[in-house]
Amino acid sequence: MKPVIQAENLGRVFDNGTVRVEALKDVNFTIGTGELVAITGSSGSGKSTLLGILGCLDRPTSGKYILDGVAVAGMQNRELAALRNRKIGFVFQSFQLLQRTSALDNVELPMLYNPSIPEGSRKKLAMEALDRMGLSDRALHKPSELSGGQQQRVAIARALVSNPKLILADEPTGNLDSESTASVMEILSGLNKSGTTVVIVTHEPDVAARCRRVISLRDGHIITDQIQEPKNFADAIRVT
Amino acid sequence: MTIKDLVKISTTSLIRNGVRSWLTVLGVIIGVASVIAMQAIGNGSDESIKKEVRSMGVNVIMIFPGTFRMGGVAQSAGSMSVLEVEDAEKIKETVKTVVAVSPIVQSGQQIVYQTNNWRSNVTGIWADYFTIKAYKVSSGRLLTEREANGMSKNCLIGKTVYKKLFPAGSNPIGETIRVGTVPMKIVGILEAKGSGTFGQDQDDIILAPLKTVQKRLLATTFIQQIQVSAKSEAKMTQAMADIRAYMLSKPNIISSDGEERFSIRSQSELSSMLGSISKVMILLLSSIAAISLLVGGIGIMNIMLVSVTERTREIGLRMALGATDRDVKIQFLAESIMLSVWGGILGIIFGYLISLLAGSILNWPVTVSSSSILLAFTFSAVVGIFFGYYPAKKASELDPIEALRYE
Repeated sequence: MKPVIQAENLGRVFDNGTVRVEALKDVNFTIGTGELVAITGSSGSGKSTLLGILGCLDRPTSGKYILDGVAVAGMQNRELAALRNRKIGFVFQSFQLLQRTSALDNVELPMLYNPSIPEGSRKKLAMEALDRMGLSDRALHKPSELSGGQQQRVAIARALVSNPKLILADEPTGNLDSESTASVMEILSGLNKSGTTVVIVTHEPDVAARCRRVISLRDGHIITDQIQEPKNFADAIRVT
Repeated sequence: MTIKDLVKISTTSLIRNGVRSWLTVLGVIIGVASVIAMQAIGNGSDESIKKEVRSMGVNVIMIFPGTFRMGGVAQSAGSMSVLEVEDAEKIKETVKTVVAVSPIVQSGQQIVYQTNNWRSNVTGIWADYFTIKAYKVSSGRLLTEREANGMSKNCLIGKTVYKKLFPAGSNPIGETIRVGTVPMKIVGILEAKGSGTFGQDQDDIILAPLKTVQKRLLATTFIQQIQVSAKSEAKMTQAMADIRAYMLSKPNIISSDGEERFSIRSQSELSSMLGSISKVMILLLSSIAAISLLVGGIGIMNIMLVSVTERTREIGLRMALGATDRDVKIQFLAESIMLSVWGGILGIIFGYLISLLAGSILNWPVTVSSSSILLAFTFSAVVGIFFGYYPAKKASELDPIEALRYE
């Protein structure tokens, strides 16, 4: 199994001159292609910091991070931006959709920064992604006209539109009711089944229980890293 | 990100904040409009001064006896005799760069017609004088060359003289007036020239043949001045040099203390002096306009800074999705440039309208030059880049993680 994420002795120190915080210490793990992994931990455990590094939004202060065969540590900001654009799809807790912008335009957004996708095919690709989320009839709606679950599905469409190696979801169900949570989790595990590596950062045991592998953090280092039999969601209600 | 994307993104974001964008653009509109209007009005005043100078005559060169000094004319004893009618004849014959020459004598005289009288300046001239000063008649006729260069007792009067002597407005042509002690016949009324550059009344004048004024009124052979019209504006300097050379060839022309006993002045000296006054005015007006453009630019910067803060999360999101710092910078720069360019376009239109209005009120030939339009437009675009750069740079330097968390 080819690794998508290789973290070797990752460390991240925040130092503003007066206060020195070691947010991550000596973190080691590998995530292979097609895995569905939950990273859990209470607040302050370092999971957000780890997410920032895994998402190439931040750089470790020590150790090595290799994303899909590319060593991230020494990269320039612009190279990191390109890497995020091509290899990672983000899903956020608060959806992070542009308000007053249609669902379609929101899904199109990452392709604006990818010159290899011709301008003419963007709309079509965005529409296809929305269709996979069962939202083709909502393409021209603005986020304020959509339910929370629908908004998160638009965000997932945006994350997968450029065919990323890795989907990084940061508390993707944190702002959703239980029905929408079930629906979003079903979609994420569905994506995983079709081959995309999915990493979910969460503090909800329910969500973690639905993943095959759970990495738990506390005080900046891994305390457990275990494989489990994920709960089935066959009985979950699909909301469209 | 293509140019089309950029334009689309910035247009939508500007339209979303409609009122705010308009108010910001208004600042630039006022700045650009005032640059255009001030330039046009400045050029108009320059043009009207030039017109006034032209009314004083065509490429006029004046030759005076004596030397000009600050504060007036210093005339050494006998300097009046330096200039003679013969000089005017010789200049006309020998200097090829001049087209018209007239000697001049002037004398204040009491003018009487029936029960009315008026004190005015009688100027003795040759017929060439009409060419030099671009004189025309509003009724009657000019003096013929034969009359003007001979001893005719016909004369021309200016509008002011006419009003004073003929208050009832009757036809003066053919009437005889008494100038000093000499009766003279009016053959024409000169077209009004209005007040001169220094406020003197150019219509309070009587023109009579040189010899008549010399012999009958003044009993002298001297002349006070020779006026010459050069062939063209370009020939002015050459003509002045030629005249000087001729004057220096006269005997006894250098005084014992080594000073030339004559001076040559030209109308272009006067016009360049007036021109420099109007240049100062244009400079002053333009700098006021530039300041208002600067204020408009500060308005852009202010609103862009607000916009960057408001859209921190959007910036964070775009960065997370793959926008580079450069993409973000360009996006915000595009917005500020769009604000200033729209301000520029509308400002040019408004400035043009203001110029037309000012032109019709002031009755100046106000013209909006294409160079001032280009200048205003370039300036407004530069203002957009200059004042948009700092906010755009600030946006591009945001940390994506912090920006995404921004509330």
